[in-house]
Amino acid sequence: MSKREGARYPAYVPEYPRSWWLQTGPYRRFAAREITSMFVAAFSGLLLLFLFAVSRGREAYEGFLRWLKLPAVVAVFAVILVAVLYHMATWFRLTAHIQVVRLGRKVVPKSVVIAGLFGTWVLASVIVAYFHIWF
Amino acid sequence: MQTFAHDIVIVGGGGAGLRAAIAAAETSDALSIAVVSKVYPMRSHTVSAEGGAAAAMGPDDSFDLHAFDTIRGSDFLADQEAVEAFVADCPSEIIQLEHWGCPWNREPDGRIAVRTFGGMSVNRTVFAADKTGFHMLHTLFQTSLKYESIVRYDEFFVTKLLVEDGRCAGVAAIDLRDSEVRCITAKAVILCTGGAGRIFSFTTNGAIKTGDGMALAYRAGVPLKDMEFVQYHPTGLPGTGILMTEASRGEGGYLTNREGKRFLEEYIPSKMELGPRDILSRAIMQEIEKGRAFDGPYGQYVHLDVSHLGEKLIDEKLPFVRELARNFVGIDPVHEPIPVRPVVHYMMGGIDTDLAGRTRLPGLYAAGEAACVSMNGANRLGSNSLSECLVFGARSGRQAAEDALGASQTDERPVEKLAQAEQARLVATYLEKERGRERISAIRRELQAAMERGAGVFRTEESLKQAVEEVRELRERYRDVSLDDRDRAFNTELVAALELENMLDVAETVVRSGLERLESRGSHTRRDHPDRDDERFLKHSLAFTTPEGPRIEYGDVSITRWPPAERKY
Amino acid sequence: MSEETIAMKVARYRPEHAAEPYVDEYRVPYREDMVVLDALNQIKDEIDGSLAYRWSCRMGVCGSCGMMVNGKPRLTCSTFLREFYPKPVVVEPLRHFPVIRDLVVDMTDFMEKLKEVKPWIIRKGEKPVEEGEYLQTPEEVDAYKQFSMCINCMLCYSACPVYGRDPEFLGPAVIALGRRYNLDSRDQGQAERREVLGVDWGIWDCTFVGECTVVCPKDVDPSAAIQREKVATTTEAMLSVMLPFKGRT
Repeated sequence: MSKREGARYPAYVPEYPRSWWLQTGPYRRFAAREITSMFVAAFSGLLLLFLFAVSRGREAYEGFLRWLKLPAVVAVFAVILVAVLYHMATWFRLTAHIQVVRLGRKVVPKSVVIAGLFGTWVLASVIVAYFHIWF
Repeated sequence: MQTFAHDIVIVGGGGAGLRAAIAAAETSDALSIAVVSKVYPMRSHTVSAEGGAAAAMGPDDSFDLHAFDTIRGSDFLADQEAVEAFVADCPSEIIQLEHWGCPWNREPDGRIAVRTFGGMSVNRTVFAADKTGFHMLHTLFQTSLKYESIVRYDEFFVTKLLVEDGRCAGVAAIDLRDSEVRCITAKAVILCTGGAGRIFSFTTNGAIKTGDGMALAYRAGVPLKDMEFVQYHPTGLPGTGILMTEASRGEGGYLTNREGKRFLEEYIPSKMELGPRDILSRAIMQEIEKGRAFDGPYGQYVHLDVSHLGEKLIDEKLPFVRELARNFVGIDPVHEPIPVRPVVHYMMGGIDTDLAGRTRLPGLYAAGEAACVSMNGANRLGSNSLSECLVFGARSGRQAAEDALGASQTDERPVEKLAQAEQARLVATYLEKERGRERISAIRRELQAAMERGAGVFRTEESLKQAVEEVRELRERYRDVSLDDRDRAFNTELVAALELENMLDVAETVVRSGLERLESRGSHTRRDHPDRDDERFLKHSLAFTTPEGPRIEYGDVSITRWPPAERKY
Repeated sequence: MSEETIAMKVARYRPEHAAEPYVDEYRVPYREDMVVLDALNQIKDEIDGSLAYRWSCRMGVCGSCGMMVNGKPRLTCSTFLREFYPKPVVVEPLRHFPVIRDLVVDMTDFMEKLKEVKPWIIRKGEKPVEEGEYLQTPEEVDAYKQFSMCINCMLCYSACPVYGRDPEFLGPAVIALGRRYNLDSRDQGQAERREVLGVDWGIWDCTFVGECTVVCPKDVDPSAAIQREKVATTTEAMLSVMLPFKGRT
């Protein structure tokens, strides 16, 4: 317990700016990271539309694929892809930061963990692409 | 006048102070315990201690061996009764701290590890990497938060002991937030304010080590014991004075001169880098005088080389040393030697107390570096000080608690009057005084320079006489001091002025006691009296305050089982 | 011979004179090995004794001297002027705390929160000291060692926008300290601390901005501590639902 009666002289309490997230590089990057989660949600939305189209039969499915090939739609989803990749990169970095990987008393360096995560993503992408191209 | 009544007031929230608070709280939860500190407790200088805390815990160790090492290290000036009590308490204090969460380094099997340290014949220094003081202080502070009966007054500066009817009945302390005196009454007051390294210009000590408690006790009539014994730690960084822990030598580091030679072979071949600090500091100064040291912008220095120990060991056992060397001198000790020279580090002397921390003023106790039991005599062994804080902090806390439980409630009003007088004095002397001609920083700088010149590793009659005169003159000039800052809200210049007054008092006792001790013993080395003189000076010096300056008397040394002999290594 | 100098722009706040803070500009001699604290001491000693700030150890271990230097929270004893020379150096009090005077901030909130997280060993049964130490292997010490290195300098609170917006937030250092004890093999107080940490103004207020870790001078990595505590708390909550009768701490 600490004892202090009311202070005689007023302390100065500065206002916290509403635009705090624009003020420094790190804060802006943080805001960008958080905003890209909306794009990840949009990506999940796409997956739901796809499943919905498949469930409605062949014609709906073909219509959906035609819609996907429209230039405007391609452009929008290109932007979403970039945002999702950025989001993924930041989260790989953060995952390595949170999850400590140990081998005995030694700690596996973060760069190795991040490389591992990227490597797994590349491998998964290659496998998916293989199935997509050859089937 | 705001008055707070407690059973025990502890001045100083460092290792000794917090340990005393916890010990008192554990003695009885009916006691109300105040910890009054001019800084937040985790800023106390205990935090910067690096090497370790000694305790005779191993199978190849014994209390007698720890006691003998300490007594021989003290050049036979330590009170052997005190040393025997000390060594017996060390192991349980270390274990107690471990139970409270202190992250001691461990052996692979989980038991507490020990390392080698200077002057110890057996490995007995318990450590937490090379930040032992930091971990100990934070453990003690965090544990102290458990006790509801411990009330803290953070950033309150004690300006005077309130002595009524021949008893210490409390303290007058200003809250730095508004510079007003509060009267804090108590049945027991324990001074744990640390040493006074800042009276010198080149010191490992932080800004707050200004001897406040020593001066408070001194002005209240309690003598300061063995003040001439100032420890120079052999390895401080030139310029800043930042400490390079003895552990770097304990782990196998070398001290080399300009010729690349481990010069200690000429001075203490049996122990080399693990000799006691006073001998090593003298050796380095002699190398400098012989022209065998390196030249630098902050004076001459020698090399502390740990590069041969390897990066793995350094990162495991000496990570802080590496960090400090890289940050402050741009040197990576893994690859290059570190520049070092002797630096003021610790005061063996202090407030005269007995084994339970009692001073001769009823109601007043002291523990830690501020006190002189005496357990360290004329020279302290490394890693004994952290243990000292624990052992004597606990002892004085328990003693004060017992005494407080037995004491009756006294009338507050005369004590409050004393506090009110103190408030008036502070306002008149500092806050509302007519402009004077002296600046605090100027007097402080000159004091530090005078002490460096007059009370260095090697002293002479002339150097000490000169210092006595200079300090006296500075005391006179202090009367004419004037503050730039007349505000009441967090006036740190006022604090600096109060600290300077304490520094002047303490400095006077150091040089006066030094002048009158006509021998060389431990860390007090006189070129004009190079030998130890047990016949005349196997005694403690006691400095009492008088208007003309300190009056030095002498007291006996307690000798139990180790007759004073030649200090051989 | 001309001496090198550097300009220092120092924030001042003197409640007895003005309701608002202002800036004083000083010029001090510059040397390559000077730190910001040296410049402040130079100002106080030679130019203006009324400048108030905290400092003590000057070696980066006591945590007193945290201030904003050119907009970033730094320990002024370990921040070299050569990083900025010859440009001026702006020194302000640590952000997100009330300012008492000049560069001195109010630490009361932090001190109270420190106590709330119960930063001491909590055990059901204590072993008597005579029986010796609790065994703890070097690996077990490693588990919490990093989080025990906090010097309470509060730079992380200045870097944290959550704390800036919401002073109720327990904050990085306090949560890291809570985790330090949770991970200590000698401690059995995880459940008690989870009640303190697992609340809206505890770990769940953190959005992992991560700036606390970036500014920490002791590599404590408080943001990692907080996220790991989130994982641990969630896991514990799920397990207590799935295995309600299993004995837990």
